[in-house]
Amino acid sequence: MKPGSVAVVGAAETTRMGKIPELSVIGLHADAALNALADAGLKPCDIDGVATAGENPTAIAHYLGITPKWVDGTAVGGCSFMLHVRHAAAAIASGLCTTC
Amino acid sequence: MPNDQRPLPTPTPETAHFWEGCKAGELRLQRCTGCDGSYFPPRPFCPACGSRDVEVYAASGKASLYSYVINHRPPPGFGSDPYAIAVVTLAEGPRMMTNIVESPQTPEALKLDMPLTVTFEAFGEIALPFFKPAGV
Ligand SMILES: [Zn+2]
Repeated sequence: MKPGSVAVVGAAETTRMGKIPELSVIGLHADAALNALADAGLKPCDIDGVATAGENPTAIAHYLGITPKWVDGTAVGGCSFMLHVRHAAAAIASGLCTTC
Repeated sequence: MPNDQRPLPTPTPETAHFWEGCKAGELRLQRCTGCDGSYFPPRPFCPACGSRDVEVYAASGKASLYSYVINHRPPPGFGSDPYAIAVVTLAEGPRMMTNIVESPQTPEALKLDMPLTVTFEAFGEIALPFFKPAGV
């Protein structure tokens, strides 16, 4: 894989920060994911790979309406999401999931 | 199911309308005001298009039997008799996992595609949606 051939094209947090009593744990995951999708100009059906920690990535995928070809549930503490970025880049580079 | 002490769901903010509906004898689904699709389980956005413009509505309670398995080894709390774990297709489109009640739990009685009607059973503060053969 050439350097610079995989990019982060959308990033987001939950719509509100702090106490969010109207959302469950899975709802917080979905809220942030939908915001990141909007940031990237994508819809759930454009996505074929999901990585998350704290919730089962397949459960998150199905909740979002995604049928994933690739999932990563690596959970190694607060830096899990840094490993997800690296694993996602590797998954794209090896063809396990796509960007189009 | 005799001696039924199954674990019960804890409603969340996103599912409260569904469980309140069950208690009121109403099967509540959600649909997208953009793409018009109905979906289940409850969530505050459309899983087909990602839109957050969704509404709750009362479903007809009609369904058909999509698939099932008869469990002869009930887990703790589910009694001691074999019972069917079923997936039904609601008239509005979404599928739901449930149990079939008011019917023998046998392949002879449980015919695929058979028409079903929702019925609610109270377990303390929670009412669960089950399905029975239509006309029973
Ligand atoms: Zn929609």
